[in-house]
Amino acid sequence: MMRKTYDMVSRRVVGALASIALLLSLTMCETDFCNENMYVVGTLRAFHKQSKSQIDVFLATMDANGDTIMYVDRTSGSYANFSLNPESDTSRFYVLSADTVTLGKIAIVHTNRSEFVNAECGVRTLSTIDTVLIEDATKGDSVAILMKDVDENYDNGNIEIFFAGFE
Amino acid sequence: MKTTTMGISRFFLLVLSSLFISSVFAQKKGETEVVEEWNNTTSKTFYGISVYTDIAGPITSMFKDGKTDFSFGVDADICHTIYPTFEAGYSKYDATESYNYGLTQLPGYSYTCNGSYYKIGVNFNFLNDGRGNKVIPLLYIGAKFAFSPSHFDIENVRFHNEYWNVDKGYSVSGKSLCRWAEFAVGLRYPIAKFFCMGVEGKLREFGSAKTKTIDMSDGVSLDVKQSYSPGFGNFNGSKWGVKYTIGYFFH
Repeated sequence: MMRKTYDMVSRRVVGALASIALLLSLTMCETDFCNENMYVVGTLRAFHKQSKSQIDVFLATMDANGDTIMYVDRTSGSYANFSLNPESDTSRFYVLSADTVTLGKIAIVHTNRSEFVNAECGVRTLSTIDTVLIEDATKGDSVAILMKDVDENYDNGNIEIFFAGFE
Repeated sequence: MKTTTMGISRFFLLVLSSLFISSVFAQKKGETEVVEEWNNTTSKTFYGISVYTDIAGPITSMFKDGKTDFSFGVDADICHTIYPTFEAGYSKYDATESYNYGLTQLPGYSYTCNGSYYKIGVNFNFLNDGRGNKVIPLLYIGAKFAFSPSHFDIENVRFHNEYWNVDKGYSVSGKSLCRWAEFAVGLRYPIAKFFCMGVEGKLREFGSAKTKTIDMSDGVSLDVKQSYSPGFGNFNGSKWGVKYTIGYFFH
């Protein structure tokens, strides 16, 4: 009697749990989407040296001949974004005002580390800033590197640049 | 007439008596067998070995292109309670079509990974009713350490940066070693004689893979993180899994 009851109960328990497992397995699909942040950009702010007031700027990448390659979109309020050259240890940029007037030129010296993230995401390049040079000395005054890592963690405020040539 | 009736009555009485006597002897024999089996089985430490295979992997492989997976396992029944277990398997994964980060693929892009995997651990059964059976239903929890030496091939993966006009393809291949822990809750039930079917839910955690740094011909060094590991699955996806097993208990 005890044996029969035990068998009956255990069969029901096994049946119920197996059904739950089957339902669960149907919902457990592996995702084919990229879950990593592949948009790696640094951020910069520009200020007047004397008044300390902020200047709205954005950057444009510059090739070896000094020609503009592409404007870098602003994505966050008062910060200008920049993307570092994955094939070189130096990235040159035009610093432009909101009405696309050139305020200065900067060169960022950096070290790169490229990584294959996974099959869904592909390759991204992370960088560490070593130095920032103001190429137009008549306008630029000084630079501060606040955060050296340009990585997948979008941190506001990698670089602050101060212009003295105009107010 | 009376004599005939009495004859029939005696005949039935004889038949009933013989049936009763034979049933009594049969019952006594059955009880003896049960007692013997009880004594033989309840006093044991080692009951036998189960050999089983996962049937979910091959079935999934049939419905999912580019995925091949099969595994075998063996566990020992100690006191119907502790089950040291070892599993080995082989898996091949083609994730070429998974590359969809808003970029069109370069022609010839592919990502494949293949290799063996091994799991070693122990399960604890909660359904030990102590009734002296050789094979019993299992409701168990368990933990395993797993590792997988595997080989990956990445062909023509896109390396792209629109701000610097960089758009090229890289091809890399190499070996990798992944490790992880696996926690399981499972059921196994004898379906016929010593054949058993089982279902197990498993949570894979603490997965890690060695990052391999490969120097490319153009001077760029590329850190290749493992995207997929045989036995673990996609590092980018769900870490829950279910396996269905069929096996035989050797006693």
